[in-house]
Amino acid sequence: MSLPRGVTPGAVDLLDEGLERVTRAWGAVGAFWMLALPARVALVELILFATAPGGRSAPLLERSYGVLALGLLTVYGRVALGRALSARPPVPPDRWRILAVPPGGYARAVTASLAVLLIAMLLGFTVLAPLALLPLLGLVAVAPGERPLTLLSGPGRLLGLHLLLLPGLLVVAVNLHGLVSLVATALSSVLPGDPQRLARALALQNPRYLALLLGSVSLCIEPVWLGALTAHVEAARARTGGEDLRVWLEELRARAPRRAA
Amino acid sequence: MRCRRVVCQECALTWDGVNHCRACLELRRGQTRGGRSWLRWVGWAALTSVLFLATGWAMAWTVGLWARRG
Repeated sequence: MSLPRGVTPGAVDLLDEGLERVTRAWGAVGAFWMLALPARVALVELILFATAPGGRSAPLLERSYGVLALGLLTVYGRVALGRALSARPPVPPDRWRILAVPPGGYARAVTASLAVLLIAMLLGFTVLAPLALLPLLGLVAVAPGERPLTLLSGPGRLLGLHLLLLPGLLVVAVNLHGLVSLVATALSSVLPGDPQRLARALALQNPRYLALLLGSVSLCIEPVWLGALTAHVEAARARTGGEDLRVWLEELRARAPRRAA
Repeated sequence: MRCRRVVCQECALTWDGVNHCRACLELRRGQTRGGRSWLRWVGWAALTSVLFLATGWAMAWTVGLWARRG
C-alpha cells in the first residue's frame, strides 16, 4: 500500500515503498536494465584493463570516455524509471511512453550526474567520499532540477535506507552466485567440453566473473534503490511544500466535529 | 498591430504602448522564449561537454590510482 501524501516515512517505509513501486513498473525496470547494462559491462572492462599488468594510460582515458558515453544511456534509463516509479494510480506507469523523457529533465540529470561523478572521482583517493556521493547519482536522476536542500532533507533517513540496502546487496550477491553455479552445473553435464573450464570461469577467484557479478548485483538492487529515493523525494517535497501540514490540518478538522459531538 | 487586422478596443492588448491582437502577442512571446531556449541549450551543451571531458579524465586518473593501490 502506498504511503499517504504528506506523511514523513522512515528508512524502512522508504524501502517498502520502493519495493512496491518496482512491482508496479516492471516494464520500465526491464527498459532500465537494457539501457544500463552496456555501461556496467564497460566499467567492469575498464577496471580489469587498469588492473591488468602493462595497462597504459592513453587507452585508459579512451575507455573512460567510452564508459561515460554509455553512462548517458544509464542516466536516461534512470530518469525514465524515476518517472515510472513516481506515477501514481490511476496513471499507468508501465506504458512504453514512459520512455519519452522530457529533454529538459534529461539534460538536467546528465549535467548533475556528471558534476557528481567529477567530484566523486576527484575525491577518489579518499575511497569513502565517492561512496558517500553515490546516493546523489540516484537522487539527481529521479528528481532532475530539484533543489539540493529538498534532495538531501532527512539525511538520517537517507543514511538508514542505504544501511538497510547493504545486507540486501549481500543477499542478492549470494543468491545470484548460487543461481549461476546451479545453471553452470546443469549445463556442464549437457554441454560437450571440459566442465572444469566452466567451473574455473565462474569461480569467485576469477576477477572478471567477480566484477560482472558485482555489476549484476548492482543492477538488481538499483530499481528498488531508485524507488526508495523517489519516495524520499516525494516526502521531502511534501514537507518543504507544506503538504504534510495541509494533511495534518485536514485530519484535525475531521476530528473536530467528532469531539464536538 | 503587426497583422493589420481590425480588433475592437476591448480585445486589443497593449504592450510597450502599442496595441496587439492576442495571436500577435503570443507569437512575440514564443519568439522571445524560442531565442532564450536556444541560448540555454547552447549553454547546456558547452557546460556538459566541459564536464564530460573533465569527468572522463578524472575517471581514468582514479581508476589508474586504485589499480596501482590494488
